[in-house]
Amino acid sequence: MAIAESCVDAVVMEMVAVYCGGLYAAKPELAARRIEAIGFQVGHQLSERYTMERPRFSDHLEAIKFICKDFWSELFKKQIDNLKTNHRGTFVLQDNRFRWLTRVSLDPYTENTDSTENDSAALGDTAAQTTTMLLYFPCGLIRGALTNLGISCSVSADMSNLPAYLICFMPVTIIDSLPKSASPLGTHGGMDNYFWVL
Amino acid sequence: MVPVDVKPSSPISPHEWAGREPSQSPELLRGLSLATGRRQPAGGRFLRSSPVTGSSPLPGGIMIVCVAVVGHQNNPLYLQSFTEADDALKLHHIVHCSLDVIDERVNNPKRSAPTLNETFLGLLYPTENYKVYGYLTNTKVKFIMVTTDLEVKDADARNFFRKFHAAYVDAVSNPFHVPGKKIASRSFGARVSTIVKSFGSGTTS
Repeated sequence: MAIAESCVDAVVMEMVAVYCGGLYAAKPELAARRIEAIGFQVGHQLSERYTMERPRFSDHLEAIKFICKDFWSELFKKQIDNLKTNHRGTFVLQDNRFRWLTRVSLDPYTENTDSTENDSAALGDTAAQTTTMLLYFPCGLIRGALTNLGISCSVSADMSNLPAYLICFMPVTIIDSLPKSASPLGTHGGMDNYFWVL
Repeated sequence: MVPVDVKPSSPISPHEWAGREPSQSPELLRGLSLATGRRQPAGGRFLRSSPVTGSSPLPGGIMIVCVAVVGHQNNPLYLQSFTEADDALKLHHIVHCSLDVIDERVNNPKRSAPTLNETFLGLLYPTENYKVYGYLTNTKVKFIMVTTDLEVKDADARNFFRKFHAAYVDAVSNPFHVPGKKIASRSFGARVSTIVKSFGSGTTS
């Protein structure tokens, strides 16, 4: 298990490094979107697998609870610590010890060329940037899982203040605020889609 | 595969089925009226099914005629028939009709209160020769199984769908599979054939 976990850590970090440093060095936004898209696909597939043996969810809250409890513990070996909602389609998931960030540390050599006292703010800034890039993948995971469960949403990530940046907030905003009476089958367009897509 | 777009609401005149066996026509039309919501009296009329004519299943105790996977937008992802006859169109029609029944089941859950939100939907509707079973996942993917067996045990069907779902999950976890497109994986086909062959043989795992 420990090996698998180290592998995931390494893969995520290497992916961020490749996209941010190599492929899209000049365009960090594009890199973020690419990383998020990879997470989306993985989450899409994982949600299919992890919901296999359970009854269907009747509403959005149940699906979110599934993400908070079961999906989160499959991914991060713990449940989330706090879930807040404004009852209008925004949920905030809070994890006080986000596992994928527990082993992140700054590379000292990139920063201490002219480290003076007042550079600590800039150092913190870079640290926050690096860590934010690491969080796009889990954001995509959650968004992919929710989308596959029929909830189109946007997911972002936010960290607490440095240096204890293990507390991770993930606001989930549900885009289609369907009334509860709407079809549980989602918003598909009736039977007209029944043809082979070639 | 030619795009098949059979609308249940459009009337199908019998001569459109010319060239096919005449015994298939009333069955198709009956499935049609079920799907459009006109309730027919349930009971012996459907269950007193005549011996299977026309496309008979393969010998060797295989009772499943067809299995299908339909995506969350009602787009067919996979359809495999296990008969020798060239009846893909007919099976598409049966599967298409069953989507209406699934819709109805899910939107009016009162009738199936004890099995609320269960993935296994049970018998969707019987036709003259076939029984259609359904399964709806959390991700709104529908699994449909058409069988000629008249006495399918629910446990068997449940078990079949569980294995079928597991095979599907493995197939879509392939990174080269595009979500929402036809499942073209050959190993998925082989695995489904194995599951279909083991259906009803009492091997519950």
